[in-house]
Amino acid sequence: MNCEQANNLIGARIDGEIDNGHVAALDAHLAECAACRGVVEAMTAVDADLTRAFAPRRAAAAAVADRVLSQFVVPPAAALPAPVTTVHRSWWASWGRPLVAAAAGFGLAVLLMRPWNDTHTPIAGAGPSSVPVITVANPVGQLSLATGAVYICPPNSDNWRPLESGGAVQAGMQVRTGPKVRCEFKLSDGSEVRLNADTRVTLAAARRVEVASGQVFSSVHKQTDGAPFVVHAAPAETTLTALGTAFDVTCAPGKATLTVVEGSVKVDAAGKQNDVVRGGEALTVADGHFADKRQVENLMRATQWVDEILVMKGRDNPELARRIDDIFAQLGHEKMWYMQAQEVRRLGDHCVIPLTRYIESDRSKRTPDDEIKRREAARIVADVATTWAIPELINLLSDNDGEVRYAAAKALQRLTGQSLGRRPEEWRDQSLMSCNNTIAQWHAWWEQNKSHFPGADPDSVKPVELFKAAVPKDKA
Amino acid sequence: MTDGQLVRQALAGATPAAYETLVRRWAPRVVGVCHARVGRAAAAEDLAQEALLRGLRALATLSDPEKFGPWLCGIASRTCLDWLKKSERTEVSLSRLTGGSGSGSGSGDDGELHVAARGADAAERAEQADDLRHLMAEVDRLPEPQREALMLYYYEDCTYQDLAQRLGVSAATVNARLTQARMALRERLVDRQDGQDKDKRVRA
Repeated sequence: MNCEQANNLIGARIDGEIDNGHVAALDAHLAECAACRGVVEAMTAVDADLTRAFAPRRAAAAAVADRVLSQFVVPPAAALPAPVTTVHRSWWASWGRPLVAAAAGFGLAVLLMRPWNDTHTPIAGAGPSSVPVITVANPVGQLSLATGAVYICPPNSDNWRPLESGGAVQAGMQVRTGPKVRCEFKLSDGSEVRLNADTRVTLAAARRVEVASGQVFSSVHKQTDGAPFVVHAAPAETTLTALGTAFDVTCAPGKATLTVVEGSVKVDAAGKQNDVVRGGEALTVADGHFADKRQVENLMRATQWVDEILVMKGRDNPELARRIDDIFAQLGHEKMWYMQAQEVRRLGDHCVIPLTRYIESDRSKRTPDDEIKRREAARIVADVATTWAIPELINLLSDNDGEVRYAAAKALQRLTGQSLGRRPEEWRDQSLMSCNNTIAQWHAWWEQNKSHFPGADPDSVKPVELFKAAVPKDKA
Repeated sequence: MTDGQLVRQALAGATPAAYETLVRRWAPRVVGVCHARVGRAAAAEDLAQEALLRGLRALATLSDPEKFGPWLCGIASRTCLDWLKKSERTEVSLSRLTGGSGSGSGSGDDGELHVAARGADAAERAEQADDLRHLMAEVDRLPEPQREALMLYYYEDCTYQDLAQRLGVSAATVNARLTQARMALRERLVDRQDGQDKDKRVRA
């Protein structure tokens, strides 16, 4: 662990956000490093000062609310907006340019996202309009998205009815999806539960889901009171308990497979065995015993079925953005490790997005060899980037590694003729902290000058043209 | 109750309480967004008030009630940008960011940080208030990504995951930005302290 990593962990510890797995490593580093012990003291003091300094600001926000409420005149009842059932395809407008750039060299990303697939269109209301919507007293959640018909059934009954998009579900209600239908429930605690095709579950309570069969992805909302979120995989008699995490469960007769994307999950197999599965790991439980625990190299691919639901949530969805970034990072990682540098360079600016995402991701920060690869990736990006990549290069100026900052600064100088008073060598030789002001200047400069770089602003590109350019001919 | 449910209730005219809940729920974040954008507390409060009123009045135009929060923050951002353009403060803001003139005093925005300087601890309390006022001025001078993360964090006392979703970055990036912000603040405060110590020695 180096001091920069330690500093981030110190901050996370002060904020109560440190991962348990990092505590011992941080303590070991602190035992040896007097400078970082000083950082602990300094950051704790700054945190205390900030908390005090912001107290009046929070009070001021409450006063703002009071003033707004005193000035606002409640209008007469307005018409309810129509239910939103359209897919926000405009996310292409911002994602499209980099996607197109990547498409030629890295078509896999586009294939993974399958943006041309019309089955993304959500179906609000699963059956004929004459079917009554089931109203419930104390809903545990509601159907937020579906790609087709979703059915619900009261406990101990076989009276299945279609559920309207947006419809609420009472505790204890059974839910099932048919073939090729995926859906998402937003639970009352803020958690999201996604069902793959041919899945059957019971939403037993706000934070308890019982899976009878199929595949379920849970994105768990952390609760301040520490209330656990439980998924019971009935076929394998396995109970999964999570706190603030995201994980996927696949159930087959007598068997359940857990894949943890973020955080960690406690697993109890029929009271016979228990274990903790962490982010990036998968565990299979068969006949009440742990059969196989392993590292998952590509988590996004392992849980790829979720993408269809995320794409429906629109371009502003941060989870989708993270997954796309991760797909690109994976592509960049593969290119850097399995291709010669010259081959990557020959891809021209098509490699900029995958390589920058790779540089920004944890994939490029695991081993000392990764450092060499990510520096090489930064040099390639610097050499092949064209003007549309200027915002990406500005982001790389905030990298912890001076060599990466140096490469980005050189490319910015080449593309813009500007250095904003700091030579590329200074980006490498001086601390990141001393670069902060110039980083801010670069962001401000870009806001003021981006109109001078045609094609550099993603929003200026028409989505239809992007779509045509990105979609393989046999799919268009 | 979710934002979407409250928005529907408000539009249906069922209860004014729905408006109140939305305003109280989102006011800290909107003030935080404005503060991060314009870097001045008093101006931020006025802009936040304007943005909240605009949002409430335009509520019927919101296409997806569940996205009330991001929509409102978008209104707040645009309100700030309009203000910055209109008052030609963009360059002033840049000079503040680069540590040029115009920083340091907090522009008198933080009057509430003044403490009554009476009694035995008067000098010490006045000094503390001055330190906090200076700290807020330094917060205003942080690069925008760090300032935004820091302000939202301390305005709302939220988790990294909440911040990550709000900012569209990873929790690790939130962690890094907060750390960089605190380290930068510490560095500047130490520089200031050194300067004050030097002044005292010179006067002595």
